[in-house]
Amino acid sequence: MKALLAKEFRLTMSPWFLLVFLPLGLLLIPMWVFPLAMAYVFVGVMIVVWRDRKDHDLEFLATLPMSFVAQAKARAWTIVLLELTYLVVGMALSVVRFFLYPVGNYASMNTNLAFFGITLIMYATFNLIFLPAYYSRPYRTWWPLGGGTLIALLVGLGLTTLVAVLPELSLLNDRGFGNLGPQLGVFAGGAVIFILLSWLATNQAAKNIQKTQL
Amino acid sequence: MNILEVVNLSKRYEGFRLGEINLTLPQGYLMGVVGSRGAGKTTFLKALLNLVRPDTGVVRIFEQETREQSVQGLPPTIGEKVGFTLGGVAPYASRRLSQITATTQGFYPKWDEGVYQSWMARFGLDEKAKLHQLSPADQVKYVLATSLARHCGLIVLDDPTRGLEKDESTAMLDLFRELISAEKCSLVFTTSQIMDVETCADYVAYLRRGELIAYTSVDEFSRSFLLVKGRLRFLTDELESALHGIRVTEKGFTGMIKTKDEAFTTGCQIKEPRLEQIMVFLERPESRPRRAHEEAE
Repeated sequence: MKALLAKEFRLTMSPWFLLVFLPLGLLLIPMWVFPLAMAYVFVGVMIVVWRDRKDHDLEFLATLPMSFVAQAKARAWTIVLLELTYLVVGMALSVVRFFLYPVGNYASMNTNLAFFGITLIMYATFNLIFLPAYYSRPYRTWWPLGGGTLIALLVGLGLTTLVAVLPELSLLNDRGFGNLGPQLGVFAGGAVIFILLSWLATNQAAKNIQKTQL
Repeated sequence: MNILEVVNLSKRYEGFRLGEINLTLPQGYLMGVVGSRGAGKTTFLKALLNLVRPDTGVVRIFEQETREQSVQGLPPTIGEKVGFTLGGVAPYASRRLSQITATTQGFYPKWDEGVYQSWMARFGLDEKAKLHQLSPADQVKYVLATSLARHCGLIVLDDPTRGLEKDESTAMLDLFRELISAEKCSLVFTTSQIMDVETCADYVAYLRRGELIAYTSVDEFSRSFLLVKGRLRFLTDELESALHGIRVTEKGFTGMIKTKDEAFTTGCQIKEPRLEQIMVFLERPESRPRRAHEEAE
C-alpha cells in the first residue's frame, strides 16, 4: 500500500498539481458563498482521473504485483488525503480571515468549525457517489465526476444556506469561536459522516473494480 | 517444469470468439504468437494475464492458477515474476524513466539495481529521457531492463517488433534469444510477421480469427502444412473442406492443407510450403468453387 501511495504522489500528481489549492484564496475575500471555494477540491480529483486516462494508469497498474482491490483503495485514500489537506489549508485561511475582517459573511455561512463540519459532509457525499461509480467503469468519468460534484454541492450549499438563513441555527453561524460547543458538535458529526461514508465508498469501489476488464 | 500452461481457454465477445486454446511452454523457451490483425493475440495475452475474465479454461503460470476468485490481474505472487507490455500502450509516457523506475522498484523487494543499471547501460538508455522520447525499440528494451532487474521468470511482450525497421526487428529478436539463454527466463511475444518466429522462437502458436490453428515447434510448424495444387476433378468435398486459402480458376485449384489430411490429396501435386507461404494461405480470402448444383440454381 505504501508503494501504491508513493506511486500516486510520484506519477499521478505533478508539482503543477499544487495549483489546485489556489482557489482556496477565495476564502480571503470579504464575502462570498464559501462552500464553492471548498468544492474546488473536486477539480483536483477531476485532474487526477483525467490524467489517468491520458497516462494509461490502469494499464500501468495492471503490470504491478498488486491486486486491483489494493489499487482502488490506494486511489480512494489519495482522494481522502487530498480532501483533508484541502480542509486543513481552508481552516488555516479561515483563521487568517478571522483576523483580517471584523465583520461576518453576509453572502453565506461564516467559515467557522461548523462550516468545516458541513464541508466534510459535502466531501463524504462526493466520495460516496464518485468512488463506486468511477470504479464500476474506469475512464468513464463524466457521470461520476459530474454527478458527484453536483450532488455534493447541493448538500454543501443547502446545509450552509440553512445555517445562514434560519434564526434557529444562528448559533452555528458565529464568525469566530463563539458558541464553540455546538460548532464542535457539527464538526465532529461531519467527521464521523466523512469517515463512515468514505469507508463505505472505498469498499464499494474495491468491489466494483473486481468486475473491470481491460 | 512448464512456465505456462493453458487449458481449454476461451473468451467470447460480440462477433468474436477466442479459443478454446490449449498449450504449454516449458521453462527457458520462447513462444511466438502469430496472427493477422484481429486474430485475438492481445485478447489471448490479456486472458493469460487475467486482465479479461475467460469464459472457460484455466491458465497456470509457474504451476499456479492465475485466477483467484473474481479478482482481476495476476495474483501478486505470480505478478512479481512476470514482466509484460500490452497493446503498444506506454503508460506514463510523459514521465522520465527515472521517475517510472523509482516508482516501479518500490513494488519489488528483490529489485536488483545492479542488473537494472547494467542493462540500461547495455541498451544505451538515458534515465533522464521521457518514455515517449524513446524509439519503439528502446521502449521495449526499457521494459526488458525493468523485467530483468526483477528477475522475472516470464516476460510477455505484445507486438514488440511493431513499427521497427527490418534491422531493428532482427536485432530485437536476437536479443530475445540472448536473454532467455543468459537470464534463464521464458518469453512470449505476439507478432503479425511470421518470419519473426522463424528468426528466434522455439514454439509458434498460430491464431486465426480467435482459433488456435496450430501450436507446435517452429520446425514442425512448416512441416505440418502442405501446398496442394491440382485439377478441379480432384477437388473432392473432403479435400475442399480441409483446404485453407483455396483459390479456384478454370484450370484448377491451389490451397494449403494440414499434413494430417494428406490422404485427401489423391491425384494432386503437393509440396512443403515456406513459412511465409503458410501465413499467406491461412489469411487470404477464400475463393470457393461453384458446384454444378449451385450453378443450376
